[in-house]
Amino acid sequence: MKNKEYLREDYAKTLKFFSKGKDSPEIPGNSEAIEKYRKLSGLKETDFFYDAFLKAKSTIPEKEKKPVAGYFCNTVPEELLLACGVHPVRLCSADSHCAECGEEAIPGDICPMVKAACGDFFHDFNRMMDLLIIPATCDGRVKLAEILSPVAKDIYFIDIPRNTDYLENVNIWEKEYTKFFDYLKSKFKVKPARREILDACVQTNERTRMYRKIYEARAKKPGIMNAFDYFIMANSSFFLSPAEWTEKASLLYREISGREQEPGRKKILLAGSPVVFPNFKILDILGDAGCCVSADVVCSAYGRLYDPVEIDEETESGIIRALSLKYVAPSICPCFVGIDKLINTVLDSVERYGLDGVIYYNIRLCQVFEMASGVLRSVLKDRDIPFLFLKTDFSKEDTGQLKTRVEAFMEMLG
Amino acid sequence: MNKRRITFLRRTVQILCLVMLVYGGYIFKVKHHTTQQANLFPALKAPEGYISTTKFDRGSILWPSGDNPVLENYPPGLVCRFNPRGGLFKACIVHFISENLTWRTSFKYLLPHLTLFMLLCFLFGRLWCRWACPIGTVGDFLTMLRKKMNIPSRKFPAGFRNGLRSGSYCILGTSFFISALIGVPHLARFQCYWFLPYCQICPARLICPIFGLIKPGWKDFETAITTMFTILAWLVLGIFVAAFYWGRRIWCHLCPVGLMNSWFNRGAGVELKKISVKCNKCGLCTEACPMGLTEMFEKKTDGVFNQSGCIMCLRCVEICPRDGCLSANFFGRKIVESRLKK
Ligand code: SF4
Ligand code: SF4
Ligand code: SF4
Ligand code: SF4
Repeated sequence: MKNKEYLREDYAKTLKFFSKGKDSPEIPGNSEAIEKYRKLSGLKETDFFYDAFLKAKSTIPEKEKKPVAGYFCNTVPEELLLACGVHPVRLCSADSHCAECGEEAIPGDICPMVKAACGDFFHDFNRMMDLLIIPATCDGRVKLAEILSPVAKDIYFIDIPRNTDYLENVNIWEKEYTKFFDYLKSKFKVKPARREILDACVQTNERTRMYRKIYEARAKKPGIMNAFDYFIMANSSFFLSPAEWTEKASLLYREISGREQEPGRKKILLAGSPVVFPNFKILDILGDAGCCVSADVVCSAYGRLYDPVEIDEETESGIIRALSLKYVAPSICPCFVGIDKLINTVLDSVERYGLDGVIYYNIRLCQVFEMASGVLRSVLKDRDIPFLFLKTDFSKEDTGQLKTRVEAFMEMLG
Repeated sequence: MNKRRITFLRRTVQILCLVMLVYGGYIFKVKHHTTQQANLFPALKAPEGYISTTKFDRGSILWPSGDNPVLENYPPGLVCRFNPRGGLFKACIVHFISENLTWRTSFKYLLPHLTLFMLLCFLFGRLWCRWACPIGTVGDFLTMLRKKMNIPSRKFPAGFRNGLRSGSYCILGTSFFISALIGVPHLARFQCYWFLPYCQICPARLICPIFGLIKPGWKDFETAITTMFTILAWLVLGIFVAAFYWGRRIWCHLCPVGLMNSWFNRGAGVELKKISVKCNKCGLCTEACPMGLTEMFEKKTDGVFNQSGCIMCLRCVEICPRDGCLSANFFGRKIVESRLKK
């Protein structure tokens, strides 16, 4: 029966990890990495976030007793999930072991983030998720959705028009989000009132406020919190509930605001591809070279947490439009039209916080990020802002060479 | 939810203005001067043989005002004397110009009034519309009602808004033209029908007296012309209510009084400024703008973005989540700027 019709499940059956049933591939824990960064941290309150990472993959569903939905990227409105009583978990992964596992399903020259996400998804915890949501941001994600669809319990695909310059698109975003919301309501058999969505928005807004405070404090006083702590904190918002995150972050904020800045540090803005634990390779390199990542414009920290939901009209339609204006319109991801947002944000941060230079981090094989870097480079050159472009992947091979380049860059900064 | 300081302040001012403009005549009982005496703002009177509003009785659709106003003046917002004790101001600027075109008043008597009008507009631009105009306040109440009922607002394309603006020019032009025409002595007999043509269909004429607890002239079917005006007035009232209910401030693109204010908007003392490098293009400003304007979103350079349609509600400044991106200035001095709400 060579001409039997193809079903997506057929592909999944051919995959080793899937055919093995419930046995998930061995993904070595990241506990050594966590302990390593924990030791570097001089802060007490970061412990919570490190611990959260240690148990990230096991405890949430039991503790919360809630349905769990996983999603990729930044354009899935968490508030709608929260309003439906679902615990949202952002699955973006950058684990090199996961990437190796993903290699089997997605071979070839594909972005390692996509491979890692794929490999990570074979992990039991993810597979048992009630719902997987994938927005159509980059091509990799779109295909990933198809590949994972037989593996996941349930999958929902959000189509998002990517022209953010054209505001009429708000109507389409609204429609897509509304469709998504209706789907959630019927899947989880809930009927959230407007009040509940508003409450969820209040929670995420509190989170935004707290994040901004920390962001500004770090940018103004370099060295009060190292980049590892910062990204661990930001990344842990992927799976912590906003209320819990805000509570712990406010303790952290209190701790760091009492600290003194380290004088004489060169302040750097990190832009480009997402920095997701455990792939802190770029941070390791920058840290070793003695530069201080004071601000960032990446989607796993700044892009995710910096902007609030601002609701103009508290009608259901108004709330959903406001959500699309939080998640899609200001997106700095180069998959979207409107690179001026990224560039303006970089320029503004450099000016506002008196930063010394910009480092653009590009995960190898992500074309759009690389294309955007060219534009940024020429703009910054035109304005005499030092710029360094680093392209790398998850492997450790090029560490030495990158370190030399960063050191040279730091020397140039003086 | 997030604190809305500007909205709170604006609502307070709006309600104060509504109260003041409707019941002000009760509060300030100033003796009214009726002669064209050597006063800074001369009271203008109809010449012999010409018609004026006081010649109509209260039930008539051409009785847009109460008795004597406290101030013989014409503010740049849609108001008229609509309570029996006389309002604070005499009438709005459209009334003023129409009336005096008919009366063929000498320009030197008009000048002080016009100067005051222009000065107020020059200082505040169209700020009057969103902060003082009483029927705008009434309309905003309808908008509030819609929000409570969870009905989404209608968004209108730029072409539609421009169309309304052209319509507004037509209304204003026509009513001035008619007013001037019936001022010609040969055509004076038409005055009793065509006097103040815009007032006859103005929604303020129908709405505001209700607040003053008097009956507006609802209907007049005596002649063909008054019938026409009656029907037109109802139609306009219908448009007004529908526009405010579904379209937020879409009506204000059609209002001829707002149109006259809008001429001063660019270059007014109140300036809205944008620092584009801080903008993240979230589009919240456009989303929140009750007039549906887009300039503050689209503007890619730094500087002033006063638009003629802008009613200076400062909602865009309030909602913008970027610190210092949008700001409202008064002659170059910053009054408020956008920031993340606490
Ligand atoms: S444009 Fe609107 S707010 Fe302004 S005067 Fe006219 S009705 Fe009032
Ligand atoms: S009826 Fe309307 S146009 Fe006439 S004076 Fe009153 S507000 Fe102005
Ligand atoms: S609300 Fe502010 S940040 Fe958003 S698009 Fe408008 S000006 Fe830009
Ligand atoms: S541009 Fe701003 S101030 Fe003007 S009407 Fe729109 S929201 Fe109000």
